[in-house]
Amino acid sequence: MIIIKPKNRIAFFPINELYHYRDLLYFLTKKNFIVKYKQTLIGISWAIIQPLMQMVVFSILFGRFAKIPSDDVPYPIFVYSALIPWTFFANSISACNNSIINHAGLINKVYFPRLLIPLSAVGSQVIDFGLSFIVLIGIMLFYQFPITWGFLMIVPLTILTIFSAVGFGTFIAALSGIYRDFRHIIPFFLSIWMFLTPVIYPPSLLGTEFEFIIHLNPMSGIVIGFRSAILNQAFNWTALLLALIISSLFFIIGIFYFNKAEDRFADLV
Amino acid sequence: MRILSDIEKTEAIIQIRQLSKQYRLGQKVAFDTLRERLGQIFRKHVDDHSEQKVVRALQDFNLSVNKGDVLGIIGFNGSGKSTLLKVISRITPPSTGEIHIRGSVSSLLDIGLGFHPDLTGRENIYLNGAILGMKRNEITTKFADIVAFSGIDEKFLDTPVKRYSSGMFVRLAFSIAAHLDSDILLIDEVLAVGDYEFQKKCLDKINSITQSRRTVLFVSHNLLFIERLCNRTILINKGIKLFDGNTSNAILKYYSLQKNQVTSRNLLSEKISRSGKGDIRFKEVQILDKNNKPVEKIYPADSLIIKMNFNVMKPVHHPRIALTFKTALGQTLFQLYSKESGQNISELAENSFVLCHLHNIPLLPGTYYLNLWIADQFNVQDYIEHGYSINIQSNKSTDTNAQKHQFSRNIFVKHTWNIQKI
Repeated sequence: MIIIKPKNRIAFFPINELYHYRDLLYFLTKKNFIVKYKQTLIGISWAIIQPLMQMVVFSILFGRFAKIPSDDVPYPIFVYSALIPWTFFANSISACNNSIINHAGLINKVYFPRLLIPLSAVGSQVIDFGLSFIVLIGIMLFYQFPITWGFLMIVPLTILTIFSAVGFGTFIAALSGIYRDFRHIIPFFLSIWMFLTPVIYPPSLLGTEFEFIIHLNPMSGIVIGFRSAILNQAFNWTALLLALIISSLFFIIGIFYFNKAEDRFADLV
Repeated sequence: MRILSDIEKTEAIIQIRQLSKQYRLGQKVAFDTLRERLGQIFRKHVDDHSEQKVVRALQDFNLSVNKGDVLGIIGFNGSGKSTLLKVISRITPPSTGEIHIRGSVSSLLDIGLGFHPDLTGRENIYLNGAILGMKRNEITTKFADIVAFSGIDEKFLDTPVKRYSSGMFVRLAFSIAAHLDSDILLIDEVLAVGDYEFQKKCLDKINSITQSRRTVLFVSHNLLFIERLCNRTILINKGIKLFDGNTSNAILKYYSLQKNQVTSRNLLSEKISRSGKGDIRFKEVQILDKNNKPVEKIYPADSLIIKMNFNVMKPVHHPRIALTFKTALGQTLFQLYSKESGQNISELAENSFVLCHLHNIPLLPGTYYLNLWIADQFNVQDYIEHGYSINIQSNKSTDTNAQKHQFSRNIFVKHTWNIQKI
């Protein structure tokens, strides 16, 4: 029996309902992914070329000309190992940012758990994320980096990255669904965020007094973790734990805010 | 808690109690921007007054729908019909009140939801099916039926739907919706799609759905569809339920609500909505019997005279007058057109009136509406929709069938029967 009341948000995270609608999540994710590369000449290859080109440009600009240190690792592999999680995170947030407005036609006309919208936006980026590992293997082979047991840490790190992207993404989706200003704020906010995250530089560059501040950003711990797993370095467990805590906090805030805001979408969009 | 246990006892499949929905004025239209929100924080005290500007889309709405009901919902634009469907389908939450629903609900407020032009027909069937609440294997099972119903050639299934003709697009979209199995269907104006043949197919499909003891809530402006499909109809006006019951009565009630509704007094006020240039305006319409006396009751095949008076600002040469007879459902039956009658009215000036002789009015008992239209050689001078209503009485007071058949038969042709021996 369905009971409709003014405040019908008893469940904090409607896991049963999301499970019930799992097929819709699959088809929405698939649509987002197909549509992104439809009618492009090289199609899905863009998923590989984008981070690859970024790596080349960053290696030339920051590695060669700015001579940013890279912990005695070739700069291309140093920057690419961080670009993998960062690109996924940033693309997920951008996709979430427009997701509610892009699905206004659905929100106005049919019921389904609205959380599926940001979830599928993140989901369609997961495929790109997976593909970017193909290039990584290529670069590792080129620089003759061994794949070690530490590489297995990629799995929990990936889960943590998706978790952060979902938490932050749902928050942004709800915000831009209600206040359109965020559509314009987020892109420029993300480009600043990248420079606040040790993607193109090692955290050691900032010195010890700033290290704590940089770890308040959950993407710092994640990016450093990816780098350690790929380059076979020692893990910074404190940074990872901090990233987990802050991501969880964002996840709770994001879902909570989304649940609170979703009732208004149909009247607004 | 007592209310809740009450609800549990009832047999209704949908039970709506004291439902209200309010929109803050402007909220629905204007974009909420951060600036407005920030502005609101700083002007908190000033803004308190604007809180009162609320639109009540639904007010204290009670409704109980039984299993197998095919419920029509009618009313003017903005009366709250669509809001009601949106609240029941959980698209927008109610402001107060409760709805209890036993069973699965599918809302068809539009067809082809989520259809993406770049996706193929096959991909869109799966996506749209999932949006409507179908499971993946359910869609796979019904896939062949959906395609067959739509009449789309298999070879188009792997073509992006943007290459489809609009007819194909709509047919595919409707076919998916037609294959939903939920207990309750909420339908809003989606029937009038496709060409005549496909429309007929859709109606047949909906007819068969209504035969299968499923519950349907159906919003439409097409009263013919409502009349044909619904066993019960509610009339909503300004968010309030005005009528609940028999479909024919609901439709008659709906017509009596219309602003242009003319009572037995037949003076046409200046305020009614009318269009045209206005050199000449209908002032009064009156029905007389063949002896030029006002009629009390009109029976089928009576001979009548329709007398029209005008307000004349400027004399009009060679005016053309048309009286269009329509059913309560809005269907046009026939037209009396001065030009087609072969006669010519040379000039219409102040202090003259027009008489139209109608021999054997070909109408069965019921209520009919007249559109009044007058034009000179170049411009429409005056046009009033539903400017006059006419009631045809039943010949025998015992004829109970008359009311029942009012919506399926209208025309009466005067004729005789006799039996002869060979």
